[in-house]
Amino acid sequence: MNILEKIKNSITYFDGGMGTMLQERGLAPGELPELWNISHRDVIIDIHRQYYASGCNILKANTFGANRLKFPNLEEIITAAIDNAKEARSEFDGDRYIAYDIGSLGKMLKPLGDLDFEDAVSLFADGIKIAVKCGVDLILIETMNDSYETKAAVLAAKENSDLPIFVTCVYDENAKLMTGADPAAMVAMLEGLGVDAVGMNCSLGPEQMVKIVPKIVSEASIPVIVNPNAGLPKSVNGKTVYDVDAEMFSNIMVDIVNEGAAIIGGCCGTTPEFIRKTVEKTKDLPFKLPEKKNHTVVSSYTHAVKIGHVPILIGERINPTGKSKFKEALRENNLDYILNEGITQQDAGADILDVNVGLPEIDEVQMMINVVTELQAVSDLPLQLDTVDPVAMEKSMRIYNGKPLVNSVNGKPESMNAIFPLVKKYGGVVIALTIGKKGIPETAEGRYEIAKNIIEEAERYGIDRCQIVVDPLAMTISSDTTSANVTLDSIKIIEERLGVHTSLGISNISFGLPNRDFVTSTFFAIAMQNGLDCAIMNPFSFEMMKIYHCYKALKNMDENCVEYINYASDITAQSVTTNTAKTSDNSTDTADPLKHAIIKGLKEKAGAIAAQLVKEVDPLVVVNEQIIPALDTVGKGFEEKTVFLPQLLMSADAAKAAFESVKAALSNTDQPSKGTIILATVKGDIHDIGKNIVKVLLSNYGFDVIDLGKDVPPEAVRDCAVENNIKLVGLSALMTTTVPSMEETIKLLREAGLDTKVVVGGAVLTQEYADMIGADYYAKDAMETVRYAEEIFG
Amino acid sequence: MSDFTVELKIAEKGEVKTVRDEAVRYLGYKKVTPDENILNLIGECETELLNAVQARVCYARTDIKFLGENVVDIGFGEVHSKNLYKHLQGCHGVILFAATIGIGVDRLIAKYNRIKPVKGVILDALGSSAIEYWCDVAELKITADEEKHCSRFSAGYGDFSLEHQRDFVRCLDVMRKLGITLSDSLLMTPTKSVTAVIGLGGNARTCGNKCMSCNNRNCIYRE
Repeated sequence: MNILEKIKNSITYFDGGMGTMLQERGLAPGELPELWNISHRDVIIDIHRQYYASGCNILKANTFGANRLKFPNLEEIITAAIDNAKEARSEFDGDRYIAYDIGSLGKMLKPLGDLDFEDAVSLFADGIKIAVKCGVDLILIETMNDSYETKAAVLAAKENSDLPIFVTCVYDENAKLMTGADPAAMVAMLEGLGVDAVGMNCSLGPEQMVKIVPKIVSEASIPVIVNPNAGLPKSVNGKTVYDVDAEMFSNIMVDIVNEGAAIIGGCCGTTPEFIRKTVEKTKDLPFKLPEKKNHTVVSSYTHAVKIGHVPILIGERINPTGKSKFKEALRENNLDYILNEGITQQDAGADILDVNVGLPEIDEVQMMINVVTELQAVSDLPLQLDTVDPVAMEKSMRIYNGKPLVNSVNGKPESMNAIFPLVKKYGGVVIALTIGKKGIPETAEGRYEIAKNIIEEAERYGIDRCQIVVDPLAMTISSDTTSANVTLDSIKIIEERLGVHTSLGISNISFGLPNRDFVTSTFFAIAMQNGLDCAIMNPFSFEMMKIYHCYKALKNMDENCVEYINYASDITAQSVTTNTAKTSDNSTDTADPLKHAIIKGLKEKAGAIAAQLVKEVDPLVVVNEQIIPALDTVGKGFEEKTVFLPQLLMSADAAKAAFESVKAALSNTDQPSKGTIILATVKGDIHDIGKNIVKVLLSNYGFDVIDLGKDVPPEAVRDCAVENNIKLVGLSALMTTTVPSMEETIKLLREAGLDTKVVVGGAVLTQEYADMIGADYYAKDAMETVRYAEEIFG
Repeated sequence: MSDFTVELKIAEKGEVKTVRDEAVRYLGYKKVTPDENILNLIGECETELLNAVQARVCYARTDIKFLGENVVDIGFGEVHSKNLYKHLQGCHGVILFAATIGIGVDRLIAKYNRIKPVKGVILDALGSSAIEYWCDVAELKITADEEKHCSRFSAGYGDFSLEHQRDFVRCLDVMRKLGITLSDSLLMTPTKSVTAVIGLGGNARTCGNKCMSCNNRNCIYRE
């Protein structure tokens, strides 16, 4: 019986711990167990044999830590490991399988760490190719504590083999991975990627794990794996003792099977004895597989969002359509602006963020990758990837850390041919627009027909209908007053007849009308009543959020009206605060209120006063007589150590708000820049707080900053400097270990023959270091960099 | 050699705190109290930070061998370091120690770093104070039964090479136990993590003032 048939028909048993058994046989602390595949072949084969003899079905080959980062002789190690397992198997009959065992690479992926996602995929792929050549029955990806690394491993497995893929992760007592994902999020992502079994191992003992099993079983439609530790290790009289013995372990494994686990075994501290007792006690228990769930669910790296229960709000603001400021941000590669749109929508109550960064004059593929990567560093909401460019779609689905909402497919064959293979490969819930070869049908029946075709076509690709959310299209009533009715009828019949969920880009309904939110929000209420599950909408719209909260309270979707009360009480609080703020505004009136607001770091106030001032005074006068002098006061204070870093940054923030008000008034007579400066945290360094502070201040003082980010290769700095004919480059490094990349960067800049000056800074830098690596200037803090820049461009 | 057991402890409620005075010092204030605006912001950050904390520690006791002048084995093989050798003089064993307050803090800092740098800076300082606090709490717990022990000594102190981070990571299995990973340039993620060696017995070298006993005389944080 092959392994996939086996796991669907009876309880399947994994082996237990390897590392702990090797330690008993003399493996030294910190010694790599995989080396023993060659040096202590007999020991490894003996342990494998003992496990098969104890009744286990699946052996984990001794390859957990085998990757190119640790082993230059990877092929030799993996081949030996699999040979050892095969040797042990040759003596046993029945359903005996060998898993190629993959553990974490031990590196954190970008943006929090320094390992690139594609590099991770390729490191995993190296081992998988060797294992496939050797011949194994399945790939086990185990002890994963990061969803992103897990995704990299699964993709590597899918792209380099046809073997079944099993995945187990490490949950803590709160049922979270160390990087934050809960079981629902992991199951959504992994089922989306098409793995064959999912579950948990390591970290906890069986008694803690038994509580987490239902959380996985209630989400999964595929067999669930549970491989616990023998409790926690303790040192008793100089010996390692685990606090759960084989008897206790096997007793709790009975409960774990009863909770719905179909594949069980052990991890650290467990021995053949644990497996033997577990097999004995569980082999005659009734076998059950998880029911097929038909959930429509997307996920981020922390949590899942289920569609079809309460209405889901998809924030529409990350989209340049009709927004000149957003377009400008895209053209200037101003990611901070875009990220801010994401975070503020989350704060306003969005459940999912739509990401559309398409603009003809920019590289949409690269922008999509950058925005998705950066957004995931600052927001834990699931994303809706919104692009008509299939390459941008594929790239962003690939690097997305979770299971995305895909916007969109339509009823035209070319669209389905492009999108469905991506959904099949990477997983995702896809928005299906009811647009056919002849455009958008005018009737609900016509739209239903297209939805039906799309679903049938998806099913031919092996994509379940629960992965499709139909958008029957809202079109403005200002050109056709029957259009809302058609859309509303479509929602109803599509949900009733096809059993799928629906979504609408709801704002379109009011296009061309005054006070659009009145119409949009009313339509939203009727649509929800007709069964609408998701709305792509503006979470900053007061009318929309009001309707949303009221609807949920009225429809028994808000227990004890808690959410409504919080929301509505907040509204009152806000108006009260506004009044208080106004009073205090008057009380702090000074001769130079703008200057005062900037020095005090009052952002809203500075913005508001500046906006008022530019109506009466020449904007440039406001800049030169108010904003700049205020900044100077704070800057001098910082240099004299009477003002400290947080205050400096708050004032910078306030000055920025004031500048923005001034800019709005200047629109046509663009203010000339003082000069353009490149900033980068050097290769190998992933700490960019210092560099960001410098950036904030330089921008404040009127310099244009090209921020290359962190972990920047020397070549990237040089190329950018050449391309933009840069006069000043600022480099930051935190650790002594990254100063050499700083030196290398300076060397490349010099070799390129530029007359670029280089200013360096960062925790370990000193004047001596700066001189040694050939920098032009050492700035001990952000203000010194500003002063130096003024000198260079002065 | 004696048996080597890596034990793991997860912080209980109240065991991790931010230390405002320390954070304020990291922010560059020298004997000056921040104004009310900043104090309010610090208060806001403290709450957010403590919500994001997931603190753990793992450790193992092991033998110590003095292999020659300035060469010592604490379970890693030969370590060449005058400072470490001196620090551990007379010890009969060591505890290898690793602690973290979790990746959630990094995410929080990264978020504000992009959208509100002042909070990023404050959270960074508060995070540093919190990991130090947690290390102190954990160290006290772990060494409760020891008669005498030295203060924590980390790779990167004096001439104890940062390269030995790799040994801590390997021997304590910190990737699996704490979720700590090492970058190519030997930086730990989560950032607010510490590895250290604690000497047992011996001269029980505890520095009265950690800051002043450091060799880096140019440090801007030096008290």
